[in-house]
Amino acid sequence: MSGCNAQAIIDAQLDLTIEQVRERMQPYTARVAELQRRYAMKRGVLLQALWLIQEEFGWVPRIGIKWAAEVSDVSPVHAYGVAEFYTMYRKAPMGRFLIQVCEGMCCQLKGANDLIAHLEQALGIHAGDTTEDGLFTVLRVQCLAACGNGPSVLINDEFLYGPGELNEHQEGWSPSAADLDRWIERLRKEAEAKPQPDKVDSLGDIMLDTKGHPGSDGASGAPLPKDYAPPPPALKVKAESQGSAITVSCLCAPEITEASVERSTDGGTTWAAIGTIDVVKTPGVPGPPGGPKTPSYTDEIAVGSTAAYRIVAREAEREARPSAVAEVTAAAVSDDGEEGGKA
Amino acid sequence: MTAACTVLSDLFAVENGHTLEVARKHGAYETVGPMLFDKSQFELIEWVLDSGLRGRGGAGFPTGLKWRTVPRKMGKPVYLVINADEGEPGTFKDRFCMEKDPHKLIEGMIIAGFALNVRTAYIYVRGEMLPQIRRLNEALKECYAAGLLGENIQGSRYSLDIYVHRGAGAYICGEETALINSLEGYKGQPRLKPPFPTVSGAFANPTCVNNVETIMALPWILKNGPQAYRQWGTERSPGTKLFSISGDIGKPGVYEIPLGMPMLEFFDLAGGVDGELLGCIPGGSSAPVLNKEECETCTMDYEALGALKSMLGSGAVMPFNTTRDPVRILEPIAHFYAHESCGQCTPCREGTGYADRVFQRIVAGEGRAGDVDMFFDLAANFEWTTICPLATADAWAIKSFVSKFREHFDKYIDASSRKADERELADLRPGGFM
Repeated sequence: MSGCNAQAIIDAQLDLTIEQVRERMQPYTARVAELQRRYAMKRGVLLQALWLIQEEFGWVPRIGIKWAAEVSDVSPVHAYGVAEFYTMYRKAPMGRFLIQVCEGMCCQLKGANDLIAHLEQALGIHAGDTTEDGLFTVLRVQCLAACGNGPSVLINDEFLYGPGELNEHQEGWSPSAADLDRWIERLRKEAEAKPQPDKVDSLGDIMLDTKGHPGSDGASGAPLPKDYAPPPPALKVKAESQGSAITVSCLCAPEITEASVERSTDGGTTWAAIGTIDVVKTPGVPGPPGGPKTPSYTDEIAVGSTAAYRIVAREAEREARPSAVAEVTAAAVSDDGEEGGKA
Repeated sequence: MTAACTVLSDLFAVENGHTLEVARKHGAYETVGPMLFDKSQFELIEWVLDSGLRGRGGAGFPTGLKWRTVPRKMGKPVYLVINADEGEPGTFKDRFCMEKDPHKLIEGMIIAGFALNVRTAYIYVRGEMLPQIRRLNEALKECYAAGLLGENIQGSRYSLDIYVHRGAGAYICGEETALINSLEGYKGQPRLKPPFPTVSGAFANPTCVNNVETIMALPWILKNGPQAYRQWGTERSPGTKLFSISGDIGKPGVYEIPLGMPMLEFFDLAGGVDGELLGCIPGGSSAPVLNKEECETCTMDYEALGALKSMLGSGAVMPFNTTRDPVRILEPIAHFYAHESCGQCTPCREGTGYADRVFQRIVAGEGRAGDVDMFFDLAANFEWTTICPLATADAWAIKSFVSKFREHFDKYIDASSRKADERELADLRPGGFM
């Protein structure tokens, strides 16, 4: 991070011991326990733990990274690499109000460079630096996903994209130099009235009593029962006649083991099972493995007669509801091989 | 505009549409009941496939096909991870969605989770969007209190927990494998594929990563059936999509329109172009730029833009007028990619930075004859030579801008050639430009 005081960082790093950090992070115990429940492995907590450190200290000192590594069960050096990788973890103390201005292409079209120049002039600093009174830091950042209100501006973690309060969105509104002046004035007054800033929950007020990821430390969530969803019926049933030979085909879920073919000759009132297909042996549809299958069955009926077919799929012990019905009339095959009826 | 399409945006204009009470009055969570729980997973997956819904994050991969590849029955936990790491320059639809209608996202996640055997789902939100994270957490709390999340949802045998994971500022985490690494507590560096995340993703378990907007379309599709979704759009790009339009346009913002709408018609809908159109970036900064002629003929769908060798991407449309200098538009794009390269692959780490430095030099009036041609050479060296497509996106942006607006670049070079002598001296100084 450019523009920070290297000596101040070193001093601050040296001032803390891990015991002191643990002590200071006591109020975060409930959130840490909740986070540790949420991931299959504790290392998933790391990014969130670094956020907590930043919430407490205003930046991420190395000793804080060590604490984050402890609660995430990773090595400190791993945690250090991760903290360095992400741009939002502050590697040095910053001003109380961090003003981030997007310098992406959309915001530049809307005059981001002029706005940044104005800020630099109004505060008497360069982008990347902090004012002497420690109140303001200005950063040029990449896209903030508020291009419709470009140039996008974030004040601490709140969007400035409307004329009213922060986070109050107004379609198509763009901040002007005068708006920023107004906000600087307002923030200065706020700092005077309240010398100590309020802490902002860096995780956005998460729930603290979820049951967690089944199997994780401290979690009480039960795993899903295997059969919470009904067994899958066969889909897209088709019956095609080639003379008296009828081919019944369908689309089956990969978990289907067996499909029985049923026929009705009275228009769907009574059904008789005429055979079963071993779906396990049916090859899957083209594509990645584990995809659905297209089993088929061949039946014989008299030419000119009509039959309805449906398929009842089974997933091991469970029987799915019958499929939709496909009706077919067996048509005579003429000499030129013309196809018969189709459902 | 054709028949009002409000698959995704029906609550955007409703006051307090983000609260459970108001959302329910408008039909939220109607699907979470027998309509969902009596369906088998396979039917749901095939429904989504039949609807033709394609991933709205940028790649446009058919969602149903992705779902088919998830091994649901392996006995391993399956994760659903929502990609809300929106950071493509020009894109702001997901932020808008999470702010205005978080419950549609949660409802969609319950549907997707049920279909894919998901017990634990995460929403990966980029770190800058703390207000939206608060709103999501608020919505999740309402859902837990109403029995819509947690164990045995609405008395069924299905249980789902949704957690919000705050990112920390890295564009590359929008790439699904980088996002998974970030979720696992690693640096957000993409992984090699295969294995694809649907087979081996977060914590080596099957993981389905879907965009916010993709998931938000599911409640409507489940309610109205896959064929109804095809009433909009084209054969291969059915449905509606959110477009975020910014730049030189009358009313920038988020619009839901049917896919396949002519681009100029869309511009008119969004208040018309300010000034005379020079060109347009149709799908976020990664999408190759279109010149005026191309804008006049193209429609907003995956195929039409693909045919122009550009892409629909995330639906971030950015028209610019003739008062703009394409060099000054490309410069921040090149800088963006150099800034956001994760540093894992050499061609990208070095190449995007090199391109950026050359642009800075050209803009500073120190361009050299041959610089423009060098971009093609440079781009060829980092296009498709890396693990993820970040460098490729940079290469496309550079190649399309330079080839379509060549004369603007040449103007810079011509102007700077007068200073050639001074520059040669500067090059001899240690620490000079390259």
